[in-house]
Amino acid sequence: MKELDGTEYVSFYESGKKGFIGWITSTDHKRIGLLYFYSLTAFFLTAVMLGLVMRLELLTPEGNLVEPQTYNGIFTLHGVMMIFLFVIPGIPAVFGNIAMPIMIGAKDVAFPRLNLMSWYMYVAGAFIALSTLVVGELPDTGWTFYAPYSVEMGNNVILAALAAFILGFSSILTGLNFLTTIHRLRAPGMKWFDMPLFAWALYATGWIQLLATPVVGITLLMLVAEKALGVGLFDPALGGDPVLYQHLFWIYSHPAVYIMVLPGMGVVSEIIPVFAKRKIFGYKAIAYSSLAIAFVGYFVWGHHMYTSGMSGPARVIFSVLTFLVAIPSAIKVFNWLATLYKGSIDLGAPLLYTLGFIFLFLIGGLTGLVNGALAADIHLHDTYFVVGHFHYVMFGGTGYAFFAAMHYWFPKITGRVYSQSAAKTAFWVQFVGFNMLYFPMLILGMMGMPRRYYSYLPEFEFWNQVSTLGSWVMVAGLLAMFGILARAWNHGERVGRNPWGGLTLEWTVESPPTLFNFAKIPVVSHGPYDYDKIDMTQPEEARA
Amino acid sequence: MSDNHEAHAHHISSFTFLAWIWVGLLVFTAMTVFLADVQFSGSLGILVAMAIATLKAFLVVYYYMHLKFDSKVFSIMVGICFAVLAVVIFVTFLDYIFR
Amino acid sequence: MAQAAELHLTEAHAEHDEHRDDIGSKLGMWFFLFTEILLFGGLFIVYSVYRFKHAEAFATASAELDVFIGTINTLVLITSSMTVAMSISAIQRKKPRLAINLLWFTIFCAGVFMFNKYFEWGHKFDHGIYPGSSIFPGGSTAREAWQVTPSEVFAPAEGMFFVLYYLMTGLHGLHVIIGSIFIIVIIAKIKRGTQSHDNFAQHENAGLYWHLVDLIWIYLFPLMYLI
Repeated sequence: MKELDGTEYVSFYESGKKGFIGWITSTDHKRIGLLYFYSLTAFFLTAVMLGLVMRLELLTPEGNLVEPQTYNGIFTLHGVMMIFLFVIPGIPAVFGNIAMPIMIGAKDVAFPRLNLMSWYMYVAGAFIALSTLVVGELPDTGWTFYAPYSVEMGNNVILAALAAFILGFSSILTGLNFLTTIHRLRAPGMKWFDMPLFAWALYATGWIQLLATPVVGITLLMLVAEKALGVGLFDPALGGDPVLYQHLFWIYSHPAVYIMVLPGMGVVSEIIPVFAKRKIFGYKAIAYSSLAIAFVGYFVWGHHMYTSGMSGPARVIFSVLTFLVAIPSAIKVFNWLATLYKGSIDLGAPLLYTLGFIFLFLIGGLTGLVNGALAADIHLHDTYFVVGHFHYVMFGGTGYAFFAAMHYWFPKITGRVYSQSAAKTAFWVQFVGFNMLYFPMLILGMMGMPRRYYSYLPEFEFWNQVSTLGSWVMVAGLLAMFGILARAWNHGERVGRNPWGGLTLEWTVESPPTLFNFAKIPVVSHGPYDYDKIDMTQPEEARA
Repeated sequence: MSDNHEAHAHHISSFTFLAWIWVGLLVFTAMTVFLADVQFSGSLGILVAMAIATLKAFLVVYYYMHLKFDSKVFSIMVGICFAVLAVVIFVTFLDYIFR
Repeated sequence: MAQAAELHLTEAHAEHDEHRDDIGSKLGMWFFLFTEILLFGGLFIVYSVYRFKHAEAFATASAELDVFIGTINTLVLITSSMTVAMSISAIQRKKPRLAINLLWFTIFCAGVFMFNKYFEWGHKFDHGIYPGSSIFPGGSTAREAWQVTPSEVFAPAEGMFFVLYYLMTGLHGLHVIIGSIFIIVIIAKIKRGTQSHDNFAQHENAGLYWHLVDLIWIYLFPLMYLI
């Protein structure tokens, strides 16, 4: 029994079967979202620890902590776990599941059992990926499994590739589910352009999941066939072309970058209007730019391959297309800033993480343009500049959006709220650590330090030490953040339905919600960000 | 509200109609088999074969898979799917043609 | 009191929640088919690139395939596609018996198709056309026993054609089997009455899946047998 406004009700925690079995057999979208949350966080923290080990190894130029081969295994596992187990499923699987159906006024997703199956596939894939730790040697190919190295040498590549294949299909099924949900289960009165922007972002993401992920699926199967049977698909001696593997891999993996970041942009588009109490600036521009990013992002994969021996004209075309993607991304950033302008801003922890996202994503995006420029990339390819760039995008972008979402929907999920000052302190520790950790990588890359080595020349020592120091600060901030939230989950102050004063539908239901979210399917009468019509600046009690 | 494509009454294709589509598919199959023996110059042969295959695919998708009778949303989405695949192949070839 | 009322409401919901959305179910199926198309799409990309690079070798290797069997299989699949479509018309007209028979005929076609495929693959294997055989390029045996006169060994790119042949028709064959199972499930459901003239969304979805199998073959046939 939970209590709200003096009446008791049954929340989704208490509806349905209890205990572990009850949870892993539940098709409730909120429970599945939480299952994802627990598993994702566990893998995320494990991968963070692997990252810490790498940074520790790089504290000194000599390789003296782990064996070179172990180091190769660690960066591969770090990449595979972070990409396939955390960043790609990330926001859609956790917050898409928990919040999106409520935001569009649905009782659940369109296919609840399929939703549960996606989680099972995720867990199965994760187990196979982690089994490479105990079965034989760690794969040492990096998360890209480039042929011919992965075919000739890589240990345990078959297992890792199969894991990625299964995880890919888990992601596809989630996307399929969300697309159908958004098409079919919107509440009466909610037209396409009345949808919250988070739903728009998930819609665009769903299409990429659907149309890009199978390509990497079949590519990995070809890799497995190649390794198991030696058929020569990517072997020049047998008429194959190793560069084609790279094409196929990036046909998925570049759009995958937008699978990672679009939902994050959706989260940001939710939080900013709520914390500025202003109608979002340029709703349609943001919605359309999501679709535009999804579409253009599909045709720029070649910018990962400038030094692979691809033809000259193709490189130029890919470079031009890459610059195009910056336009819709910039449209979003300007719209967010315009929304904040003259708003009555409440600088709560969710907004702080959101602003962190914008700042870090800006650095990530702009360094991305440097990489996308053909001539500059020839110099920077496979240096630490690239490593710095994609950590700014993936961690500074998706990661911070994930944390923002975590702080934003925390009261909805738990019915409690954390201490704002503690959460903000954790943010600042983390934020400072983040920039100490990754900004030196950009500098090191410009100096010419190559990536994926367990040791380096003495002249790179200073910035590497700054970076390692930063990793400790950042991890301290991370642990503090999770600690504060975990404590608040049990001991935080209770909150009502709408602690932030949001106008989207999830703030109209109980915190935590009931099994089917709504006692009666709502009829939508106002837009998701109509702060110009409804005054939400008053405290909750006054509004009610 | 959800997309306005609730069918008013579900369309039922007559057997005769389905059989005529089948005849069309047979004709195109015969055509492609016969044309395969003709020696076209260069890559014209594969273009002809692919064009015929696409016509056949259209018959299957549009009539057998009911797109003609479903809401336009379905057709648009199927179009997007095939277009994406076509463009991806085209963009890949930007590399191989100029290499 | 309020609490009891709330509880009652939740339970009422639980029953009500089993709502049916036929269009949603069809939409989900189409989305899944898009995924399938792109899954095969990856192989089509590989095929088109290698055919572009090795046009002549592909033509030579393709001549090894029996156009007659390929054509027969094409006819078989086209016909099965028609009967699936007809069975959906039949169920809508409240003729479940006819619908079931048409579906059984579809399964029969699938059987003929797979029989031909089995025969065809077996024939190739008997002639040593498989990765790893002595006359196949790159096979471990071939590398060691290079005494085989080079003319008997396939050129590397010809081997590539057969690798793609096995991969693409193999994956397609897998889909034929899955589609057949799907159809058998539908037959059982029609018999049990859970698929009927006013509730045939799953029947339609099975049909869509089967048409996809046909669709893929429409492209595989000319690419493998005719060029």
